[in-house]
Amino acid sequence: MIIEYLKLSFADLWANKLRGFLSLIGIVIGVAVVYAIFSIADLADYAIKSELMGGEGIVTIQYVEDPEDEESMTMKNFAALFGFNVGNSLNYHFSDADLTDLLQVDGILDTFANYGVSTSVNFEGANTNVQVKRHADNFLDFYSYDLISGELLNAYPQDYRISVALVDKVFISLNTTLTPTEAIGKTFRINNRIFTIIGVIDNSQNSVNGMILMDPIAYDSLFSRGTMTNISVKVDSSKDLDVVSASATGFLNSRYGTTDNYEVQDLSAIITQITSVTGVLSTIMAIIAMVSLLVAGIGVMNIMYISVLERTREIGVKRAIGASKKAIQFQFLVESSTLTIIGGVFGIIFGIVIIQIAMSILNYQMPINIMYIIYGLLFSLSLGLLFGFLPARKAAKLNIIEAIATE
Amino acid sequence: MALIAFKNITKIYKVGEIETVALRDVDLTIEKGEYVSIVGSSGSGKSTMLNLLGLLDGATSGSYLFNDEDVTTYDDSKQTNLRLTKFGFVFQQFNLMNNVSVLKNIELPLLYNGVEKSKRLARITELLELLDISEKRKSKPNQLSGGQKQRVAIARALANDPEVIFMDEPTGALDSKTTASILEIMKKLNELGNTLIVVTHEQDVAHAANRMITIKDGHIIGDEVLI
Repeated sequence: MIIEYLKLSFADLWANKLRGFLSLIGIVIGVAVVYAIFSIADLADYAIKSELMGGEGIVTIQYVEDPEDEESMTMKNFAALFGFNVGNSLNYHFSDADLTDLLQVDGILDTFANYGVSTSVNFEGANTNVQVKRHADNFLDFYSYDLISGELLNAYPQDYRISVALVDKVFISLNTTLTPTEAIGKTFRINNRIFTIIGVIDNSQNSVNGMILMDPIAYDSLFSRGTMTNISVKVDSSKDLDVVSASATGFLNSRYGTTDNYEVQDLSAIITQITSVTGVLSTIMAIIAMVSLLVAGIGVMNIMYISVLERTREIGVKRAIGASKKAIQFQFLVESSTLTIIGGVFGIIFGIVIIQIAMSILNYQMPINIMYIIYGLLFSLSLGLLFGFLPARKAAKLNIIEAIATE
Repeated sequence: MALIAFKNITKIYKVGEIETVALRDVDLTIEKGEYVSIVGSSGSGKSTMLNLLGLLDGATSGSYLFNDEDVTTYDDSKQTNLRLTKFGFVFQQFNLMNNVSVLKNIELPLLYNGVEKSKRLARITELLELLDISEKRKSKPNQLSGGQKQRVAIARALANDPEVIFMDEPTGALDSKTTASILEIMKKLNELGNTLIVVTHEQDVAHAANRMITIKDGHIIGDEVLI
């Protein structure tokens, strides 16, 4: 029976389609923004989780110019996170000796020097920004990554390694439709130097833009030694992480005669920074969304009032031949919510397009969250019910005789 | 047991301070199967009478018994249900839904009554045949002539097999030839056992009924059996 009622309402709606759809623009914008807010929050979350490399039991030690200056450190970390300007500094805060010596600290199983720059790479005819890292023999072990196709650098003699590289599967999937196996033998260029892909590794959990791993000699010929930004240490899981971290930073501080300049990277500052940026963005967008939805909602209410007015006679006749107040109210609520749901569908499509464009600019990849689509539709439905309520009630309460007498 | 009984029905319209008496102490009884016309000049109260009979409006005082039940005390949903299942309405201006087909128009009261689809279609087919408009089932009302529109309206009124059909100037918008055909249909409906109450100011329409009630200034001044 409800389906029959719906059909009836659709027929009425279709008869007045232009007017109805014009009132939907605000709903489209509002729902699109609501969808975008959800997705941006996700995007930030996703970016934080993916960009911050490291796993269970891995602690990263960084050098801080001024330990008191939280602000500058946060900004530096923030920049580093998105690969803006970090990496070309010529300050040498770590040495290769640190790597071996740190192994003597009780509880440290392994150490790894993080060199990395975000640089433009020409691959398969397009330029893309990718994180380039300096390979070390313990790299895959250290981060528990797997080789999924091809070979490792040590399969080649040293002379050849200068022009080959490992890439992660995100790099392949972001830029091509190739499978990891097909990607072997493909080349890419950095600063007009050609590198051949010899192996693909799986680290998709920790890569957003993709990653390239280069032999140290190749890396050093392209980038500064100063790009060694920090040292990661792997801590024995049976030991207290904080205690081991403290002895590691203590070791470095005493070696370099510094007080607190070597410290464990505190990610909470970065996370707070990102969240506050996305938070401001979300608040602004939420205000835009609320204003446009309020205006649109009132627009829908207005359309529904006009509709009730124009169809006063029809309502009267329907009441006379036995339509209950509820049936009339239902009819108008169906109409208003159909309007807003149509607006919502377009809004969601619009929102998805915006987010996809934003992600392609930022070079991120994130699946569409079905729940947000459902939220968007439910939200549209409730807008229709909310703003359709008063017009529908007015229609239901019309005096039958006066309504029929209306021209 | 009378189908319809008005006991001391009075209807007063109040516009601001001014009171207009539309009906004053009206007593009226109509039996099942009757074909009654209500006549009177404009402003006599005949339309008010029909509105009260059809429960489109409430009386100021008095009681209205339908099948011996006092329906003046019914709440809106019970009155609505009575209109849906026991009453049929035919209007002067047809009042069909112009944006849906003839079939959908006739289906409307059946939908409101929750009749299932197969039964709805069977009933519509039956009614279309009865009123000789089967070939117009898919047409929109604005593609029909006045006479055809009124047949659709009558079919809609009959949809839920009502106990009484109220007609407000059913031929008022029709030419004399079409009027004659509608009168024939009304006769036929009455012969099939339907109770018809027709408000009209046209003498030929009034005299087509079996009983004619004349109203003037809110009072029944004539109640004659015709033929």
